Amino acid sequence: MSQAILEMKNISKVFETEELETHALKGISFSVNKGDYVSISGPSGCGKSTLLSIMGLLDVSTGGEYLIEGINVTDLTLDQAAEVRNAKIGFIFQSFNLIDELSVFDNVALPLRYHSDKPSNQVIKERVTACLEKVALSHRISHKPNQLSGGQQQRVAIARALVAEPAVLLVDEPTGNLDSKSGDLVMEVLEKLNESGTTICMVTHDPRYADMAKTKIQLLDGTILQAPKAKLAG
Amino acid sequence: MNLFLYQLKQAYLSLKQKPGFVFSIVATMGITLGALLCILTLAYVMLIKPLPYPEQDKLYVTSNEQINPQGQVMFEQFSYPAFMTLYDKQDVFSQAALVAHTKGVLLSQDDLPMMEATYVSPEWFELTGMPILIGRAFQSSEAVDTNNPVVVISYDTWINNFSADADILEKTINFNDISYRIVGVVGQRFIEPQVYSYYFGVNYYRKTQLWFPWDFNSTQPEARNTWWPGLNGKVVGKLSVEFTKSQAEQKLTTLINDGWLNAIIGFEGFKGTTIKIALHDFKKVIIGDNRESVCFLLAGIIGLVVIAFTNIANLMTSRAVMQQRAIAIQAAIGAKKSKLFNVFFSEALLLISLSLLVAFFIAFFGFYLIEYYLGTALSRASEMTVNGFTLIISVMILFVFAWTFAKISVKSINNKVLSATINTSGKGTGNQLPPLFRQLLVVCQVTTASVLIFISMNLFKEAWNNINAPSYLDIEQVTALTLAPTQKSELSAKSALLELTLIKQKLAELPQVEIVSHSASPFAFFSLWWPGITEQESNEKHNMVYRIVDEHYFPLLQQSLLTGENFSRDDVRDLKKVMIVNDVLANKIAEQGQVLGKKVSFTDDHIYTIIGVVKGMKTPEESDIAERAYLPRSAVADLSAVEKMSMLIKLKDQQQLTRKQVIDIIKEVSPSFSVDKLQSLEDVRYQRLFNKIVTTITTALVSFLSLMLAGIGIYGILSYSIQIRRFEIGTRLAIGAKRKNIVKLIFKDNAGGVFIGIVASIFILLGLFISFDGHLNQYISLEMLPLFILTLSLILMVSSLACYLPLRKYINNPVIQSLKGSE
Ligand SMILES: Nc1ncnc2c1ncn2[C@@H]1O[C@H](COP(=O)(O)OP(=O)(O)OP(=O)(O)O)[C@@H](O)[C@H]1O
Ligand SMILES: [Mg+2]
Repeated sequence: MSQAILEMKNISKVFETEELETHALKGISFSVNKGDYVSISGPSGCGKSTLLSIMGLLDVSTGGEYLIEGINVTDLTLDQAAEVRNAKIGFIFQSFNLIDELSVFDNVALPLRYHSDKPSNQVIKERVTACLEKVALSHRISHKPNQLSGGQQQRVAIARALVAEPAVLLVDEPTGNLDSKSGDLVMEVLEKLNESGTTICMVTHDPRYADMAKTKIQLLDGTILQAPKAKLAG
Repeated sequence: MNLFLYQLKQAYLSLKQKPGFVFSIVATMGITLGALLCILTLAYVMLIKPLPYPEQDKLYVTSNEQINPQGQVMFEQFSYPAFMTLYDKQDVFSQAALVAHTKGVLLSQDDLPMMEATYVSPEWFELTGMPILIGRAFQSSEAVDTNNPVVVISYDTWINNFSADADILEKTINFNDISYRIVGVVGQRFIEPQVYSYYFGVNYYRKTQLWFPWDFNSTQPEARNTWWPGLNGKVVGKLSVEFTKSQAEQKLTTLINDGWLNAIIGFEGFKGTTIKIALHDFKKVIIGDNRESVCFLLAGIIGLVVIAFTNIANLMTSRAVMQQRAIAIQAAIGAKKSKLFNVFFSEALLLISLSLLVAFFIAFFGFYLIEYYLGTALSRASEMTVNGFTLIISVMILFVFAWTFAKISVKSINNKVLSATINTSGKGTGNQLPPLFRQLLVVCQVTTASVLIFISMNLFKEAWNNINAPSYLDIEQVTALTLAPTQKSELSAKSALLELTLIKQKLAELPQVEIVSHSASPFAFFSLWWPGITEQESNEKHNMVYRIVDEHYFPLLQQSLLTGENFSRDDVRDLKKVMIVNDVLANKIAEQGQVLGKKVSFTDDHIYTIIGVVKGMKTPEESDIAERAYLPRSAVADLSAVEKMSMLIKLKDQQQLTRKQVIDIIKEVSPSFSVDKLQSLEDVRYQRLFNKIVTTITTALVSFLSLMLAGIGIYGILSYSIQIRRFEIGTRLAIGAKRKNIVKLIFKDNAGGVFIGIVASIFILLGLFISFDGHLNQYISLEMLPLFILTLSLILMVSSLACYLPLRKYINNPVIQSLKGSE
């Protein structure tokens, strides 16, 4: 129990629009332990992205309780949530979400710049270079994102997610916009990271990539279809 | 052509789906273009449009400038002999007419109306091309010295006073105790040239109701032979082709100066003075000093149009970029850029046509307002209507604006973006519109708005201060009565005074009246004693104006006595040579205004003792209180008409006094007088401040509109640029940016444009002030700093709001909302 980094207890999410209510998540409970590699898969529209955004504090649940490193983060203010995201969570998006005007270096450095006690420029420089080395892109440090290939852009995004040494990486379809070769390369990087101790939670369609994970969660229509018994909480 | 119609139809269909977009454009453009059309038409009518008189560009008004040895112009009025000499002997005009105006009572009508009359020589009718509805104009039978008592009445007089009587000719009227035969009625479309103009610097607008032959003008027989300048008449002439303006001036000056120099022999006071005859452009005389106001209004409106134009350029380009997917597909299937241009052009054409439609309504409304409220202040305002000029301007606006908008829209969709949109593989977070272009729009808005707001606020402040400055009088319930003589032969001064005193007593006995003073209104013009009074001890000369009052004047107006005492009944009755001065004059005469008992002289045998000092009062248009002196009622035997014929009446609370009541009382007492004017001082004040009130309203409106339009515009630009950055904002929030980080970021990114805009506005303002360099020192002072800071604060506040408001929905909601939909 002490190892659980993320813990979801009976989380639900209802989207209300004028015409209808969508129950995107219906009482989800599970936890992610330190060093874990979790894959979340399921058919389109089953609630994978919704689950990931709640885990990443990008959205709020409509029911249930959510703990990060044992602390209840269900009802944080927007700025408190931002602080938690900055310190504990690294995001990797399907469409990379790099900022075009900033160089690779500045993109990667961004989370450190938003740190509540901002490290010195020297520290920033060291950590950015170290992270770029991990994704094998240190030679592209002063390029702009649009001068890189899609796979390279996604590796920059990985470096950015790592730079603040988060407790967990949240990854949504990292290969969705990539050809299979670049995709494989990205997955390789993620696997290596996990081997060196990084906790990863990844949404993916691709059964091949899902199989790389240690723990597999299958979602169907907002509920967990099949989860390894040992990891189930509550 | 068919293709064009097809495109218009397509444009219509696509716009129909965007009512909000259409509304914001049509509202902004409609209102500003409406104001533009209205003011442009006004400017056209006043500054460009030819006057509606034959050969108007050859018409001139002459003035008789009396110049002292120092080269200063002392008077601009003619003396009667100079006037007649000019008319008889001149050979520079192919035709010249005499014009002088007066007011008088139409005794032949029961209600004794006061009428505006003008005495003219027959040439006047030809020079102005005056249309005649019934009867005839003046002819040789009414030439100077024929003494033929006939009258031509104005169209309005015919309608209002003679019920449009078709058999009006040969009927007689009695005006100021003389009978005249009606020989003509002026046509309705006659626009009377306002050549009467200046009276001590105040524009004097009047509409003639009765036209009489020159011979009957009100100059007294003695005055017809003296060279003292005092005639309110003008010579209007049509310049012969052989002469230029300056040649004509020279010839006329020589002609008149000879007579003048002869006449002043032996008069020390006039030694060394000469006469210059000046010709004034007919148009300039008529337009007067309204030119500047019109130019300011025009500049203000053009500024607003610039702001509106930038707003709409932004809206259009944003829309173009929004549509780029559809456009990209069209381009992919082979549409050329020229086709794209046509699509945008037809849309813009439709939008601006709609806006112009709205603009015409607003312009018509503006014409009506201007004519109704400013008709008397702006000459020629009544000529405003949609004319060829307005239409040409509208068509030009239509095509130039539509073309520019279409060009900008096409520009904003460049090929690179098009191809990027089609192959949406690499997803960036970039802004499609060149950021420089948007910055430029912000700069443009901020500059124009700052300049407009700063200038408007300065004008506003000046006018506002003037309106609200205390007058140091209590004019509530005070009415000024001006009497008019009804008989041709003047009463002797003594019997006139007797009858006037009786009238005053009768008025004072009325139950609604509290007190009556036989004095002119404090707002009427004071008499000028030139070249000033001399204080006896120091022998120093002091400039001043003076007024003759009775003992009730100061108490009635509650003008406070600072030291000394008010005139007593005895002073007034016994022609005592005592005088009261205001504090301004007192401080000029002696330090700390210690003037009681001092003696001042008007001439060697008119020496007055100062017995009191009153607080200086302010006339409505004054910004600095003039040096004024007051003399007791009868001290000067030969009173000027205005002082003799005026009374001030203080009514009891809630009480009123009608013109009819006053006429009835006068009828009881004296056949020699009637009522010229009965007007409350509050009304007088309002009328005199009217121009300032108009200034405050227009400048406040211009400030408000600039601020609003610029605010909306900057908001539009920023909200669009923030909208296309929302994906970036979402990403930043996702990796841990707090709200304040995002707000800072957006403010920082847009501060540049605002800052450059402000700097540019400072340069423009400096440029403006330097180009009016005569006023530079007067205008650039520390006093302007607060207003400038206020302008800046307003601009900064509006820009900040424009920055923050569109951000709100991204930073105050869960981050996922900014990240969604961009995929
Ligand atoms: N903002 C929203 N408003 C209303 N319904 C929503 C909203 N976001 C998601 N949904 C609904 O919630 C359900 C889950 O959506 P979600 O995006 O999590 O699916 P997903 O599993 O990520 O699908 P995909 O594999 O296609 O990405 C869907 O039925 C979707 O229509
Ligand atoms: Mg998804």
